[in-house]
Amino acid sequence: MWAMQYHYFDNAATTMISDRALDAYNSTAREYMANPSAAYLPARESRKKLEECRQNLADVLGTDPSCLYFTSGASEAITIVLTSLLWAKIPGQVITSSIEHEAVLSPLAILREKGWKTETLNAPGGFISPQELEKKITKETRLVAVMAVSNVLGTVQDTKALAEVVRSKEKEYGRSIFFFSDSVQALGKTGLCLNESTVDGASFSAHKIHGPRGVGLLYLRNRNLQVLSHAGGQESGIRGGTENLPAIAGFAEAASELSSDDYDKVRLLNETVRKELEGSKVSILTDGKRCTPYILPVALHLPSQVSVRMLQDKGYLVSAGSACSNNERGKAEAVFRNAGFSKQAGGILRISFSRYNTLEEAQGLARALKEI
Amino acid sequence: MAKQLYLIKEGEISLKGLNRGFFEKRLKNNVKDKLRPYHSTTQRQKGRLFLFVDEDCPAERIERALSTTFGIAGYAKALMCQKDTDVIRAKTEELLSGLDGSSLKTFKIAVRREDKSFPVHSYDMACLLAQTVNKVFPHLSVDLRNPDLTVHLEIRNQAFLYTSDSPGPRGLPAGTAGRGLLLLSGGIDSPVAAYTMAKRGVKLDCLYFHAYPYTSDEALEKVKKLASLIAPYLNGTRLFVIPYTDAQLNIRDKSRADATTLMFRAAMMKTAGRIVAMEGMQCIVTGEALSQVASQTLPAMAFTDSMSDYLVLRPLCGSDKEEIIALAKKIGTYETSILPYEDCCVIFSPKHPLTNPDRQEMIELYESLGMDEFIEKALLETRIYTFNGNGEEGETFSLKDKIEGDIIEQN
Repeated sequence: MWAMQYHYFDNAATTMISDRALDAYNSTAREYMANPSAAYLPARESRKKLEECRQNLADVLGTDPSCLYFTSGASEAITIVLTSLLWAKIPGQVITSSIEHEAVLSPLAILREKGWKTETLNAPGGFISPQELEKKITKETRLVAVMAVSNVLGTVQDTKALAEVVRSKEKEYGRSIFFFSDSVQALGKTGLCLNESTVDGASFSAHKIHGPRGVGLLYLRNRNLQVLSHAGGQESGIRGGTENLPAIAGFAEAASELSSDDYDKVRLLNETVRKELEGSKVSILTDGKRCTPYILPVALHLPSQVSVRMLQDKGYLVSAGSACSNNERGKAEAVFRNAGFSKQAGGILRISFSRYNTLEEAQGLARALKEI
Repeated sequence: MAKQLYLIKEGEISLKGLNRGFFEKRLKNNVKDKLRPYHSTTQRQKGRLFLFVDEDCPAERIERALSTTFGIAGYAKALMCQKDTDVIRAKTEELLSGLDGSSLKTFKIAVRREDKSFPVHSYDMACLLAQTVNKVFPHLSVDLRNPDLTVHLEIRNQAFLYTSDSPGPRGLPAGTAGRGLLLLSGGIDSPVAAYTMAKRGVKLDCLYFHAYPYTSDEALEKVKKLASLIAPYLNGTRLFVIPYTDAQLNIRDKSRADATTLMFRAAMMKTAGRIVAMEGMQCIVTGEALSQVASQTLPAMAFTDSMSDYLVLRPLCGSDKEEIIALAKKIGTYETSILPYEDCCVIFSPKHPLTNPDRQEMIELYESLGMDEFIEKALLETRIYTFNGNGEEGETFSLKDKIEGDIIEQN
């Protein structure tokens, strides 16, 4: 079996679906097959199930279920928010950071085409400073998008402070500014509570927390978002299309399994690898402070893809920071450069943990890293 | 069973003298090989090869085979009938009724009377067939310069009729010029070099240097794909994949840094030479183009050339990149070549490679590396992938097993 052959340390890419999430998926697919929008009795059962799942996720996220909209994944949630700007009669400005995911950067092309200006926040060491944000916000700023946790560096942004800057600028200019936080790597991997935050929108994905693929969440503090298309009007018109109820049930189940015990376990795994690598030729890019323990970026003397293959042959799967080439720079590599790791950028590996990793595995991984 | 008939025009072969039969025989065999398992027979006649293929063989397959076989200047699907004017006219009518005439405006009749005993002369025969065309498509008028439709009639031992002919790849049949070994990388140039030398009749096998884990398995898959794409032009080929990691690491550790690429290329020549000797081939073919990269300057090429005991052919030496890319697109290898899987890892490429090496100094450096031991070991681990004339992958075996098999066969 696949899992017997490899020790999996690429959980920021995707995770193994949990038994409970898979069971929830399977049973919902059979028991709640009716379309929640239909008029007959079984449809009402499906509708009830859908709202139960929404409530469960709202409890985990610390928010109200009416703020949550199911999507096909985080990428769609992000696209819904960014493309909603296209309705504006007068184009304004969008501020993002230099370490954002492609899902955020990609819709900027159409916005620029329509006359929008885009501004990028620097992220030295993987951190975005509220002071820089304050300087870059102008009267024209309509949206600020800063990811909560870097998917390649694991650095955790001070989202609260960033949001405060946006709120005070809103007052100053007397116009609303949408603060969006791509929170895919934050769910279950940092202390996250949406009610304590003033972010206007956030995106989440099920398959990063042992849920199924193809389902995600869009959090909106206020419903007044004019989306490009509401299709069949499902999800209050924010995301039309028949709800993927089995996947949503799997997502809700996976979210309910998140626990602080897992967080502590992963922190131990992270610390173990850090400790084992001390004094070796493998350098660690972050010092662990203001970082999620779930992601650990390290730099080696070899091109990333070569190290990935060497580790794979030793039974360990990790992610390459970049492409093995002089002229084909990988996207992750660009993020490392932007964060000030230009010298190491070609040889960075991302180790990402899950609750299913064991201490022995982590020690083995550190040994394997030292051997190559 | 009824047969499909194709008329094949020989190109350069028809200029050959006493050895013409040798070229024609090879061409015939190359075509028949590609059409297997369908049965086909051929008839040779002055400047033409008539190919009869089983009725159930798809036309695309026949056309793909003919459009990729060197030695063919053009080909056409044809009808055959008795040498009798009435029969010919009836057959012409049959041929025309299968055509959509609505987009046509003009026509021409081209008659070749190889059999001079046929009583009706070419011009008169053309007039007769023109009447037939007029009967089927009354709206067409004659245009001898730029006709939309040309009806060809060739009178030989039988009468042959065809309307449109397609160009072939020309050149000489693969295998008529001897055998060679192509150094195949994952890049744009080497498949084009293979095409170019196969066009002159060289039967080629390919050699790829695999440096896993410094190069990926995807890079190997890409090279296999390239080998399958050029295989139709080579009338089938074998891909030798030699594990070269230890050899490359040895070069990196022992050579001066700015000469590593040259040392690698010298080792490649030596390795290729071993296979050329073992297989009784006569040359090595590379995709090098003058001054394209540091190892392809005149002094660098002069050095690598001097490291080979065999003739090294560099058919692209005088081509520029645009020309090579155009040909790569034409033969269909470009899209695969530009896939982003590197065939050489950056850690083996010096930042500032030598462009003007001193030959004697380089030879001495190479001799100090002790490469023979690495080459012999790598040869023992070489795997051979086979591709038939339709580009389909066949069996895979190790070079070691093959050598042992060859010895048993000889005994």
